[in-house]
Amino acid sequence: MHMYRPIKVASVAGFVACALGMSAPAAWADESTLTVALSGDIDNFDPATNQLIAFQAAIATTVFDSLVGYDADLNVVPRLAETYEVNEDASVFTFDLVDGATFHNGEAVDAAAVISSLQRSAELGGVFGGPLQAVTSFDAPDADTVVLTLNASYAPFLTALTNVAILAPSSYENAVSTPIGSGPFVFESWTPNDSIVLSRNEDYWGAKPAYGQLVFKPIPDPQVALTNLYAGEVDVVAEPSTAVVAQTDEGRAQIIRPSASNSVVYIEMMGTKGTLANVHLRRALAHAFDREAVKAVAYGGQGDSVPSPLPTSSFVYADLEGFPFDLDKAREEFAASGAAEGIEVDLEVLAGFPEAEQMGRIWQASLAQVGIKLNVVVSELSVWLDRYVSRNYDMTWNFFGVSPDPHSFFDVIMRPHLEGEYQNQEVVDLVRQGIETSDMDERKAIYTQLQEIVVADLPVMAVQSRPIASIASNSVEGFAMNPLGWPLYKGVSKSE
Amino acid sequence: MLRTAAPYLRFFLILWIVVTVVFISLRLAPGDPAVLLLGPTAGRQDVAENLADIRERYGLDRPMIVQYGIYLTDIVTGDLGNSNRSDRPVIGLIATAAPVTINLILLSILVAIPIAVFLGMTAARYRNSPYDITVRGVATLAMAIPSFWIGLLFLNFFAISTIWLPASGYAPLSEDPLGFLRHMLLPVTTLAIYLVGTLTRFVYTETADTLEQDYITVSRAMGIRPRSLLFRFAARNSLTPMIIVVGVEIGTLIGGAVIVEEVFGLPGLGRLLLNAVLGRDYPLVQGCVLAITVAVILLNLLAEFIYRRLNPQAAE
Repeated sequence: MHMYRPIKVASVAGFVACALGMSAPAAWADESTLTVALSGDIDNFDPATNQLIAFQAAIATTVFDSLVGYDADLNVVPRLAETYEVNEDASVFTFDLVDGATFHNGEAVDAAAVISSLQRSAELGGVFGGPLQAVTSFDAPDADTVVLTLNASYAPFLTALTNVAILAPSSYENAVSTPIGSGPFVFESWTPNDSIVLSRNEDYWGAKPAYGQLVFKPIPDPQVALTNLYAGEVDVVAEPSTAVVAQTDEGRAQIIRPSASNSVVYIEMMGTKGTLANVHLRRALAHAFDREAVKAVAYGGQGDSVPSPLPTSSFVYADLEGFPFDLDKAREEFAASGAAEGIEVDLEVLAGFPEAEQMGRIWQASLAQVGIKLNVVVSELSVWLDRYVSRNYDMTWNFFGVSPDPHSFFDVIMRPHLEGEYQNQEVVDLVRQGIETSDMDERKAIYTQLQEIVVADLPVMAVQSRPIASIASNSVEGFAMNPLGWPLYKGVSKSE
Repeated sequence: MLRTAAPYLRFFLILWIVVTVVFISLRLAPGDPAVLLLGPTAGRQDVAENLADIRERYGLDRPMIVQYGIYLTDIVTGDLGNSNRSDRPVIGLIATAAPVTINLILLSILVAIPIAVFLGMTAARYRNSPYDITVRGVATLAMAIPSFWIGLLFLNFFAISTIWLPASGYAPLSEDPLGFLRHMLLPVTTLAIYLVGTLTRFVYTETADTLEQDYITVSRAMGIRPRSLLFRFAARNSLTPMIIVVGVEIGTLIGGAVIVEEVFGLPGLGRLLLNAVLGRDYPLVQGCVLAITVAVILLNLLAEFIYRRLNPQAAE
């Protein structure tokens, strides 16, 4: 009974369209809904503070516009800024705003509104707003032009702006519950644990979506989500686990993968506990890490397992040797560290990522042969996050989507270590030089050096890139993912 | 005077204890709500101010005893506050989720009672027959099997292997009655199975006792047919106490609803509470627990009231 319903609706719509002498798919698509299964609910709708990947893809890039955005391959492309200019030393950025853009509440998207929104992000700081704190003056020479002057050269500034959504200035007070932007979709409603409903922005300044509604449904179990996709209740499963992707029947659904994966898994080895303060001990751990086994068992043979902390797709990626799997060398480094035989090291892992636990078990087995007892500690998010933020750990598992500019890795993952136990002035200087020069060759040399130091010192050890994919029903067309793991909903259409 | 006031005093005493225990245990649990709100970068120096703002906005920077005082005052004035995470009024979130849970529990009770009454009474009538032994065995099994396991089995068979029924989600009764029934069928069956087990055993024991009483022996001697004897004469005495049992089971059913809602993706009170706990959303957890406590106490009082009306002897 259930299986017939969507077919019936579709054929009725098709019938009406034929009677009116219109092309059937267009008329049907216009009224149709794209339903997406998310693995968790979204409760905070403020794009300045919510950093979840699911939120970035589902709300921050649909309800909101940024000045510049990404295309599917992470090239920076114009968005609210129709054109933009950067001066030679990357310290003055001039943006020409598109004509006729309005927020969903009717207010105009003019220079004053854009500046107000950027200033709010700067005040809130963090990963998104932090780079804006370098802006010394926000100017509006006319209503359509925004000029940002920075205190120094800042090469990654444009990529940083892709994460800064522009909010309607009157909406800040209720931004957490009622997001108002200028994007292609208007926020309609949120029913906790049930659905988030967006509708097409009929007044959108750019190309309007081909479908009327975008609905997100939180379905925690990816197997159940896939079943719902087979049954026609959802069109896209946004964050399926690797195991569920592997068992997807490709006759009944399509698997969508990005051109590359910038989502890299790390082991952060320098916490306030100081257990791994000795570099030889960290190197012993690295030599006992069997990359091939982890890739084969935990990640189903997918992803790039390399020592560099930057994704292989990065323009500055350096192919380094690191510390290959070798238990004899691990024992040598262990002896050099002077640590006591049978030393216990805790690895903090976030619950809900079975592949991380599998990785821990493989590592545990090799480390036991070296004389190091590895404890894999799996905790729910609130507990894991508390330890991560206070850095009260021996070492912790983590993953991060490295933006096309390599600076993001140093700004997000390395920064707490550089502010804490990993005192290395050379790295701090190089990181600053990396953002102060816009010359590509110079930057490449700087980041190669940085990768070499991180790989040798191991404040953070790269595990590998995470295989990312979405599952879409066969009727979905034009659906893509970018290498950060964001599903791109805007250009999707549905056929019958 | 004191006697009439006693039930009310008891009501408020229980409420106060529950509210206090939840308040304290939430704050003793590891996990900082402000850090959870800001995510992995909450430790950065450039968000320290923002972190302090959040703590101040939700009063998390004050001493626990002060927070407790404010909380109690707010409850008395009927203000449950706003969710830490979604910044929406807790009352509104509860009001949206409650109908789902109420429907789930109500339907489970409505399904379970007739089945339990029939099974329990007939088994008592044919005591020690193979039928009786089977019914009692199945009832014990139904009580003992965890509902998350039955739920997953149902999900696998009816929704994943066959796609006969939707695997998750909810449709409001008022908007889509058919969809409502289809979404509710598996969750209600899962929850009802436990209740059928408990109630069947209860009806069985009560009926078996009743059937041995003198008035039944006399009625039987008068030549009244066994079916009337069972369903008309014995029923009244053995079924009225069931009202109390259903009242007591409400608490267990709400506990079961948390699991069933999570397994079947129903947007009810149980799932709201579970996610609030995981997100350390203090006001929402406190509000949900308060609402559930009030409901359980009121329903028990109601059950007691109905029982006394039906059975005047108990009132004395």
